[in-house]
Amino acid sequence: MLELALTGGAITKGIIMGLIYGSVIGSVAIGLTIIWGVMKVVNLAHGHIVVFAAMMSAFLYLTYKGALLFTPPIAFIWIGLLGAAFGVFFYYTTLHPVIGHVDTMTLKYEMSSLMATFGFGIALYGIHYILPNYVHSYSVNPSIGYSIGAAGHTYIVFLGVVIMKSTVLMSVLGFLLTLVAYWLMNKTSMGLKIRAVAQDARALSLVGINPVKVKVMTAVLATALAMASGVLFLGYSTSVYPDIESTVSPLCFVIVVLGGLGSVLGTYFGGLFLGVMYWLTLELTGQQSIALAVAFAILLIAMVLKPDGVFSGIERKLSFRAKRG
Amino acid sequence: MSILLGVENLVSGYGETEVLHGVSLKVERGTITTLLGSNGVGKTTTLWTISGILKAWSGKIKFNDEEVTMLPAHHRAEKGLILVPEGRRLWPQLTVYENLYLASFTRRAREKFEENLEKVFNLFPRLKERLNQQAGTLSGGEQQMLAIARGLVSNPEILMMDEPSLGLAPKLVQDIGRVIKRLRDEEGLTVLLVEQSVQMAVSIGDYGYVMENGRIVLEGAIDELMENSKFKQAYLGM
Ligand SMILES: Nc1ncnc2c1ncn2[C@@H]1O[C@H](COP(=O)(O)OP(=O)(O)OP(=O)(O)O)[C@@H](O)[C@H]1O
Ligand SMILES: [Mg+2]
Repeated sequence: MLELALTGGAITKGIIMGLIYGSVIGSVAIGLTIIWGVMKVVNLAHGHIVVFAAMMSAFLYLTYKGALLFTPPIAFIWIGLLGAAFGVFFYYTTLHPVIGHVDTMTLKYEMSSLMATFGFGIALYGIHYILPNYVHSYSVNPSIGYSIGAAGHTYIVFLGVVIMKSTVLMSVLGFLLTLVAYWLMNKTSMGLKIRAVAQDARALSLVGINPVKVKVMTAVLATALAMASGVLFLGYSTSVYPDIESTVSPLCFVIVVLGGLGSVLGTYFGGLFLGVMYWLTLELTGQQSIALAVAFAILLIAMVLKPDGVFSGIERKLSFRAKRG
Repeated sequence: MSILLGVENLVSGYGETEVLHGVSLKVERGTITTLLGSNGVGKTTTLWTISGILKAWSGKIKFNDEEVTMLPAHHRAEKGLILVPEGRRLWPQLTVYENLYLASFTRRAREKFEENLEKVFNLFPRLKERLNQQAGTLSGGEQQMLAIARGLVSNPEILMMDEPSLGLAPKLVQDIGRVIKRLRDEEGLTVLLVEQSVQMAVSIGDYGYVMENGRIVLEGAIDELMENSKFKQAYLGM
């Protein structure tokens, strides 16, 4: 029987936990908004790449018994950098054959990119099961993210809500990751080239810029962000298994659509919003499946009411883009 | 006299279809050379092949005494071989400024960005007022100005223009013609111009080529062409 526990405490908890969760899951979706929203590659491998990074960092963390290098606040940086290299591999194996020489991304190419990335995702998923010494599910110490110089309790109590310090840390790092992505996309020449390449790649070569290089950069940035955020996801959830992808991927798609394709800050706010809705529903109903259903109901409503994304305006308002002077 | 761009026996096309069957032309430094011909004869194909977007099947392209036939398009642009393409090919969702700024990333363009920007605003004051507007929301004439402006910000050694007046009102066609002439006279810019308004092209051009079915069939100084009755009849209706 479903009982609604509509108390002030439940609402406070739902909002706080939702913001923390939303910050992490929002940052997980940024890589997708860049590659899908900006380069028009419907990256079905995104969730797999996120989970791959989470699995890898859990494996390393447990293998090396929590050595500093493998704790999420440190690991997310270097695994993100590793993700940059992995992005080059991803691009040349999967994307280049399909979109390498395409001038303007049309629906046809979006669809073929969808097929190609689907294949890459499946392959990546398969790796979890063929590596030796690789178990299929990891649980790490809940204080994983907070093990650097940690003293005292691993939790804090805020407005009567008990919060793991490590989840707070992960959400702060998720926010910082978002800011970095925002800066790269909107304040640097790399971001400008990335925004141009999907609109007209040929025109880039006419002004002396190699469009293939720009496509590689896009894949590199999106993959680096995906892998870095995967580590944060592990730090937040403390347990990970390959099939969690089937939850992560749809959530990312909902968030990106909510946020407005291609808008970094919009996507992050989409994540916060979804996180809060998810946790409120969870607090009120006590059932995770209902919370997920609510998330998708939100997507449906959002797509009908505002197909351009609910939070896409945020970026336009905050963004000054490259202006003169 | 020195030749800036020399094309010899250029053959190219799309897929299996050969469109250019051996085009040869020369562009002298500091002049406006026009390439004329009816629809579908291969003018755009010629410019795309010279710019490197289309691969030459055979033949030679020499630019600044250097053979560039096999260079990729972006390397040719780095050397100052710049095309203002047919249909403008702007980035519609980027602002006017971003469209211009993107053209300034090559070494030769970066050094002169501020200077070229001033020059461009001088030629097209309307663009300066619309710097932060999305290119796709500009009027057709303004978009054409932006396309030319982007070409100039690339700091061209030669500016190839493919129908810069397409779809513009007669008054604007004349304006564009005047701008091109000014660039030659004041800056010494070299121009290879494909133009559907033959009137405008012959009024500013120094030398002309006439294409038919992927071949050059007639060439000469504009004054000479104007004395050729066949040319006048076919292209000026006189
Ligand atoms: N992308 C393409 N694929 C196949 N054929 C093409 C393509 N583009 C042009 N052609 C063909 O090549 C020939 C020359 O076209 P091109 O665009 O060079 O002509 P043009 O002289 O520029 O004509 P216009 O004055 O109409 O612009 C035409 O027969 C055209 O149908
Ligand atoms: Mg043409």
